[in-house]
Amino acid sequence: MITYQSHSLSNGLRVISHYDDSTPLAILNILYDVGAKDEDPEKTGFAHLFEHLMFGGSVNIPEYDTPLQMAGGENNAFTSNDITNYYNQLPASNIETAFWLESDRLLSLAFTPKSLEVQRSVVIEEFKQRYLNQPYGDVWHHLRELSYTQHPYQWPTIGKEVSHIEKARLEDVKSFFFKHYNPANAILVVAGNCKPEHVFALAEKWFGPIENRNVYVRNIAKEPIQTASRTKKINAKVPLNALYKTYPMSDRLSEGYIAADMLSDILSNGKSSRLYQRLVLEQKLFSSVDAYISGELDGGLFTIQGKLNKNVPFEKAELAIQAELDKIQQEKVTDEELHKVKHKQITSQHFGLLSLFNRAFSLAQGELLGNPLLVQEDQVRFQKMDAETLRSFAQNQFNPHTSNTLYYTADAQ
Amino acid sequence: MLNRIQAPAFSFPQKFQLRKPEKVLHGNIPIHLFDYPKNEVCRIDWVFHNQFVQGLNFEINERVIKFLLEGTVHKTSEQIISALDYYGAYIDLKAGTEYHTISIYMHPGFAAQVLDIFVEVLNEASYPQHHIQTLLQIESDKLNVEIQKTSYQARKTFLEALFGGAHPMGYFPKPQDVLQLAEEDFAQFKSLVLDQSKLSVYITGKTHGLLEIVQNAIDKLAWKSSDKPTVPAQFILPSFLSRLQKVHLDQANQCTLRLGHPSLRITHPDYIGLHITTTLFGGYFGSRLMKNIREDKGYTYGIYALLNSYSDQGVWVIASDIGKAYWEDAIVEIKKEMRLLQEEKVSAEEIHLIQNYIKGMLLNQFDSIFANTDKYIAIQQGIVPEFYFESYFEQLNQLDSDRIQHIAQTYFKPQALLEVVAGNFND
Repeated sequence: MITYQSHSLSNGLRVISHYDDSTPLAILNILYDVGAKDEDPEKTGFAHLFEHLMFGGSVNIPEYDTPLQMAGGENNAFTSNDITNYYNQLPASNIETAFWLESDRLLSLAFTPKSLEVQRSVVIEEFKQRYLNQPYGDVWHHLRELSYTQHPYQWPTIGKEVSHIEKARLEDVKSFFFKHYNPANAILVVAGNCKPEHVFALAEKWFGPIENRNVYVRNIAKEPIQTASRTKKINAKVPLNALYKTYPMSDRLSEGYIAADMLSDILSNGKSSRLYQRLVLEQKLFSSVDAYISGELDGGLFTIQGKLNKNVPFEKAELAIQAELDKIQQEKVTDEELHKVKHKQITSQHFGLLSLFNRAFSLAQGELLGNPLLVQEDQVRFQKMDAETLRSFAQNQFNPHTSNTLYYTADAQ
Repeated sequence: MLNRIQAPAFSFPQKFQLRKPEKVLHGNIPIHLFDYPKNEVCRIDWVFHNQFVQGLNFEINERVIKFLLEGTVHKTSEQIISALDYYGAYIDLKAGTEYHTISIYMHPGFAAQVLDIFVEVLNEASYPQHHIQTLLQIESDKLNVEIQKTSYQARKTFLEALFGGAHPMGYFPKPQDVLQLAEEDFAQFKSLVLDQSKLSVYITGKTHGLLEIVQNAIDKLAWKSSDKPTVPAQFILPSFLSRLQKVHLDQANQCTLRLGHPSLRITHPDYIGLHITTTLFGGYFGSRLMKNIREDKGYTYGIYALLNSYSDQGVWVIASDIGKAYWEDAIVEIKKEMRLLQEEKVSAEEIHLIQNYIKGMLLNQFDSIFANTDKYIAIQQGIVPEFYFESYFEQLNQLDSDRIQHIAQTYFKPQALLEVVAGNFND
């Protein structure tokens, strides 16, 4: 278990300290409870564009990166549909530099037109590099739109289309900042060679004076329970046909989430897993096949995807996947399979927690859901799952009326 | 009142030292132990030296090494992987340009059982033909996806020009070449791995009780005696031509740029100086190139300059994915930045920044127990000179603007670049 101490500031900022004296380093991680789901459907991609703007200078410090590099630090950030997360890693002796920088940009940004202009252009290039200039790069644009009809999870964090980013104005940027960037909407974790009392004193010093601004009350349309399956077909210049199926998952905090995690391991974690052995090696229908879950807080997706071998029709490939899904609903998994995924999960947990960042982020993620040790307690629940419970969860998970299928068809070349 | 303008004070350690392992010889095989008793996991690396002695090349080796786990005389691949999974163990197979590594990640409590599987795999790997054909088809299909990417095409064209198609670094197989890999290719690779004169072992993590288990495994391996000493292959590198080379791809939305020229090897006395100068120029987020091409012009999501050292030559390269409309202008700007470093002295402030940034990176690189081992292996394999990291730290402290200018003038060649652009040039 990761050890930690926590402390709340009067402005609502939650602070967590994880002390580890075996490293010369420290990480300051700050998670903001804002993601692509908080965007206006006509202004998508904004949370992510905003993440870029957070590096464009704050009210007292013209540039973010240079002073951090001067203290031997590096940083990065990422945006998901639910959250925006920033982290700095540096020699533990220099942790105060990270407090100084992070607190100033929570106080207020510089909001320069030049920064907006440049980052808009950088994000458009990122959009092209990662989503348009790669074979199958746009698949999640299609899958999200197909899988969610009401909930804002229907667009990816990069945004629905490039034009939304092109149209971003400085006014939008400012109002987004004051709506979502607020001490009470953030979780600060410091992990590494810094004692908790030092961490809490620095938090009071740098973040304490920032006033609690109006807290935004989230009001997001719930995704209605799906009652009929949906399909979509698209054509593109890609080398192989690809098949994607998604099923809505139950709540992130429910037992069903743990079961889905385990089901995805049994179906496709590693080369001894069912889908690889049956569909790739034995039946030779796919060149690759994968099953995985996404952890969106308001309900993620269980996804099964594969690239079809040449001359394999979609119908045949889809039937083969269905046969595996039927089997896992009808028959209990074997003791050996259960044992295997549980052992693998323990080792990967141990290896994962060697990383200081993973420890910091796991605490932050858990705190967002009300329990810093959530991710680790999930692992205990995973170890306790039995075959019959898993089977009954599989029946809910793979209800045929809730499936969404995308046929990604390769244009003849 | 809190002063938010002034940066807080910071400090750095005065020197840097790589952690050294305990070393034991078993026969002629060196075993190195990095003990971290508080950890619950361990990694055992089996490292096989390879100085391009094989007819096989990097792109092929990368694929062939993976097939070691695909079946033995007595077990199918499914049985092997299931057995490893049962113990929660994972074997990672990596072919390198200068050494190959088989890394076993596991809970040390299962080491004896896991190494039994490992020994069986190495002794009895049988490459079952039917199964391997399926895997080769998959590999070939994956390559078919890769070759449609601008990044793949730019890298291939660049390295082919620098090394020549006969060199292990310059050869890129076609999808049909992958399909035709045959038994002799596997056998050749396996004999390399079972040559004990090339092996060294590194144990990292909770090492208690592991030495004996590893020694047992070594004793059980069916070593092949190498009848003739291996002589590193000699390659004649093509004479370098600076030119613009375009690769057209119909479906591309962006261009991939690779600009560069041959450069220093890691053993050269100026290598560290050039490495630092290259970092300042394009090796980090605050670099000259990032500031200009990304943060000022917004042409790209990222642009990097790198100095890579291979066994025959070093390569200095700039890489970026760039908007279609901007690539020509980006090349002009890149050359302008190269000349600027040659013509104008770097400010004391920028030197201070790069010194501190790299010191931080040197420390940040060691954020897990395995990172130290990885660096140590590179030194042991003769890829990185001994005390490289220590002298890097020292040279950073001695850095000044004259030195940077001298390095840029001597080793940056803006007038003699190979310029590769992969993209769609139709519209």
